[in-house]
Formats: sequence, C-alpha cells, structure tokens
Amino acid sequence: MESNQWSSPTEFWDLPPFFTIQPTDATREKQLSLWLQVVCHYCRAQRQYFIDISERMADSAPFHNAKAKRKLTLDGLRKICSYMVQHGHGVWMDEGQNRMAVFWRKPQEWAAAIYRWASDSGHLNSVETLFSLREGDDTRDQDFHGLPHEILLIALQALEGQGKAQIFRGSSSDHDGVKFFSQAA
Amino acid sequence: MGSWFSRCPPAKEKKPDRITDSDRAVLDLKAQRDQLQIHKRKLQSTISSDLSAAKRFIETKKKSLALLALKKKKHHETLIDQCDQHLLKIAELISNVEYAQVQETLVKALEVGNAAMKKMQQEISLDYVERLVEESEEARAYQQEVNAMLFKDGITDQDTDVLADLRRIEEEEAQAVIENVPSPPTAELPPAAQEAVAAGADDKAERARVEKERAREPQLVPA
Repeated sequence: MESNQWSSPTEFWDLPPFFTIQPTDATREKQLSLWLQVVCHYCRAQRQYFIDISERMADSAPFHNAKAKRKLTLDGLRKICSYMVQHGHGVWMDEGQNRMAVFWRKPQEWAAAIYRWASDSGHLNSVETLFSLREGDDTRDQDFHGLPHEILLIALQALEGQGKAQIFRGSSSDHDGVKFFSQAA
Repeated sequence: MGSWFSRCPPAKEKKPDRITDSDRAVLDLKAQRDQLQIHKRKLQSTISSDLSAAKRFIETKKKSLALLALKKKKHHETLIDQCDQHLLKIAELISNVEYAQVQETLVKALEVGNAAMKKMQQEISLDYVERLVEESEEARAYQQEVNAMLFKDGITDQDTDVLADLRRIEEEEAQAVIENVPSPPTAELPPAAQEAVAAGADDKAERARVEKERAREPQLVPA
C-alpha cells in the first residue's frame, strides 16, 4: 500500500524491536498500545476499515516497514488485533477471528456523528436507507460517508440502544433502513 | 457475520416498535431509488468501456465493430436518461409521501388543540358567563344606588360647613407642627468641636473623638 504517503505517529515504528511482540508484560502492554495508535492512524489516513490476519496484510503497511526491514508475524498481527478488540477499537467479523473491523473511531463516535448529521439535515423522524447513508449524495461531505455496511450497522445499533433510532426492513424489499427519532423512547 | 451479532442483541425485543406502515413505504421507495442509482452507476461505467472499445477498434481499423460499440454507447446513454427520469419521479413521490406524513402530524396536533379548546369551552358555559355579567351589572347598580343615597343626605364637596371645619382642623395641625420645631442652639460649641469645624476635618477618627467629647458634656448640647 501507499506507505510512502503515510508517516507514523510514533518514532517507535522505525525501530526493529517494535515488530517483535515483547515478552515482558509491561513492555508488551506499552508496545501494543502504541501499535493500536499506529493502526488507527494508518487506517484513518487510508480510509481502511478491515484487517485480515493474512500474509498479504502482514506484508503491507503499517505492519511492514521497508526502511527498518522488519515485518510482523501473523501471530504478532493477531495479538495486536486482539488488543484492539479488547480496547473497543475493533471487532472480529468471523468466528475464526481472521478478519477484524477497525474502529479508528469508536462505534459511539460514529453514532454521534450520524445522529448529528440527521439532526442538522432535518432527517429526524424520517426514514433513510443504509445505502444512502453510506453512499448517498446527502452524506458526501460527511466523515461517515463510505463506511462499510457492517460498521454502519454497529454504529446504528449503538443509536438504537440509546433509543435514538430504529433499524428496520421494508415491507416489499429486504433493504435495511433506519428511522431517526428526535427523542429517545 | 458472527461475533458482533451475538454481542449486541437486537434492541427491537425490549423497545416498542416505532415504525409505521408509511415509514416502511418510504423505505421501499428509497430502496428503489438506491437501486436506480446503482443501475445508473453501472451504465456509466459501461459507457466508458464502450468508448474505450470504440477507440480500440478504430485504432485496429475495425470500423464496423467501432460503430457497433458507439451504438451501444448511445443506447446506454438513453438508458441513463430514462434512469434519471425515473429517479426524478421517485424523488417527487418520496417528498410527497414525506410531506403527507408531516401533514398528518399537523392534523393530529390540530385535533388535540381543538379537543382542548372544546373541553375548556364546556367548562365555561355561555349561561354561566351571562350570569356572571348580570351579577356584576347588579353589583354596579347597587353601588350607584348607595352613592345616590349618600348624596341625598347632603354630604357633598360643596358643603360649606364641612369645608370650613376641614380648614380649621388643618390650621390647628399646622400650628402644632410649628410649635414642635426645636429652637436653634444658643450656647457656644465646645472648644474641641470648634477646632474640628475650623480644620474642616472630615476624617472619621476626628469626628468620632468630637462626638465622644460631646457625649461627655451633654449639657452643652441643646436639645
């Protein structure tokens, strides 16, 4: 990937030991929290929403640093992802834990941004398709434009939990829709 | 699709359904709009590939194939036009339905307002208001009668006896006030106070001291 356009938020990324998961608990904790920052920073910059536990992933930035001549092992990649899931910055998409959705913004933050948009653009008490939230012209200049369906759904479920929205299906189609409410039920 | 579904159970089970049939209808319409938009995107990408195919055929001197590709492109362009027409129609329909929804809530609000008004009007019946007005009219008439009677007994503003009496009492009062005014002091001021006055000292300590002195010699200060 275009790693040359991206610069790491921490200088540790240029140090070879950073690419080996550290054995000491305290050091590893610090290392993993730095990796969390690096991954979130990279994914935000590249608008990347998923990480696969695969060689192809481990071979590309930010898990591969050509300058330091280091790359992460699959096990290291998995450890970082588990750490991110533990800290609410990701969620496994499959039982086998081979694909993780990255929350470089947490679902609650996405939810708040979507609700703010709905409120500002007069979409409260009205219905919108999930597709038009993701790809519609109305949301083109919004940060959540282009959000994958799965992550959008998680964010909207957070809104649903707050009683600010309800996800539902149409009567004749199986398209997901959402209705925003001006006040919680 | 696995772990996150089990982690976040659908909230529908505990919360009441707040989706109406018209919401579902709007969603269906909007889903159709999305489908048309997807279709339009597909056509647009076909057009660009038609165009590049035509260019390739021209380069390789395959004129009939190039013409065919251009025909395809034209066909796809008319399809896009149709798509746009449909999109416009569906957008109109959506906004009409949404406007009707707003009107529905407006009518409901009017209904509630009307009912409240009726209830209040029932509480205040016309008879009751009429009675109230009558009663206050009666009270006013009674008051007038009382006034008339009093005037008949001769207590009016023009009664000279009464006015003379009033003037006499006022003069007595004024005299009493004049007698009560204290006479100006005749004695000399105590020397300390004189100094203070001469120096024009206005600082509090000085004044306090003077006052203390005065308190010690009350006989010098006339009442």
